[in-house]
Amino acid sequence: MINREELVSEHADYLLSFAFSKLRDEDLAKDLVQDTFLAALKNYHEFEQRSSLRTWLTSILNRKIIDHWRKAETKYTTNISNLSKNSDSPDLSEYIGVTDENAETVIEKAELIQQLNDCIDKLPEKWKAVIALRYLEEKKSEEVCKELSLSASNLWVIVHRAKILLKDCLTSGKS
Amino acid sequence: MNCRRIIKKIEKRSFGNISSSDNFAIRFHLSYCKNCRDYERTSLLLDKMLKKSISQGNTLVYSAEEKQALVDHLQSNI
Ligand SMILES: [Zn+2]
Repeated sequence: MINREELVSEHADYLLSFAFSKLRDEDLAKDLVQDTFLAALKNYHEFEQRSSLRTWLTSILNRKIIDHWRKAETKYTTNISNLSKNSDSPDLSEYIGVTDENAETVIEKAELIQQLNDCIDKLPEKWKAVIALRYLEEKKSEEVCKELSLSASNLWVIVHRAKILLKDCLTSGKS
Repeated sequence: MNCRRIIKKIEKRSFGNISSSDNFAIRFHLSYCKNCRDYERTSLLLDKMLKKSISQGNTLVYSAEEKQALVDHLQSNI
């Protein structure tokens, strides 16, 4: 029999950060971690000691995250209409003051990172999933498509639209 | 080649999988199309920024009360 207190004290924080880094949603991350523990307790007989308990728990959680993403909304429902198509929206590099020489220092600014994170949070769930898989896990495009059940051309469209929206979001603060 | 197809190729390239003929097509197109040049600059900058921002502030921990509630929930459910 598995000790619940030990399970939680040893693995809960790790699993929570794992889920949160991908989902960027605290409540959802906590729900999925709880579901993971429940599934683990229920299926403990399936756990083979070949891998560590943490590895096993993480794989259960990861499957739950992917399931969530697959079901998630692909379309940008509410705000897509005010997606600006005008070419006179400001240039991002100019707007944030990036040049070839200072790029590394400018993009490290906490304020800018915070601003970008706020903008990412406004994207549809599936688009966030693409960003997490692409930039956090550095997955190849074929893997991203497979995990999210997307076609390749769908993926490029999402990446492209996400970038346009992020640019608009970042440059809309002041003018 | 039209801009939509070039933009798709630019994004494909940023994932690291692109043929040399596509790469050539991008460069040729960018040599005369300012819109796509602007897009490419923004796209590359966002790649860098996203990499930075996505890897920060990802740690989250439960409070002691939350942990206890979680344990209680697990006890009562199975
Ligand atoms: Zn063009």
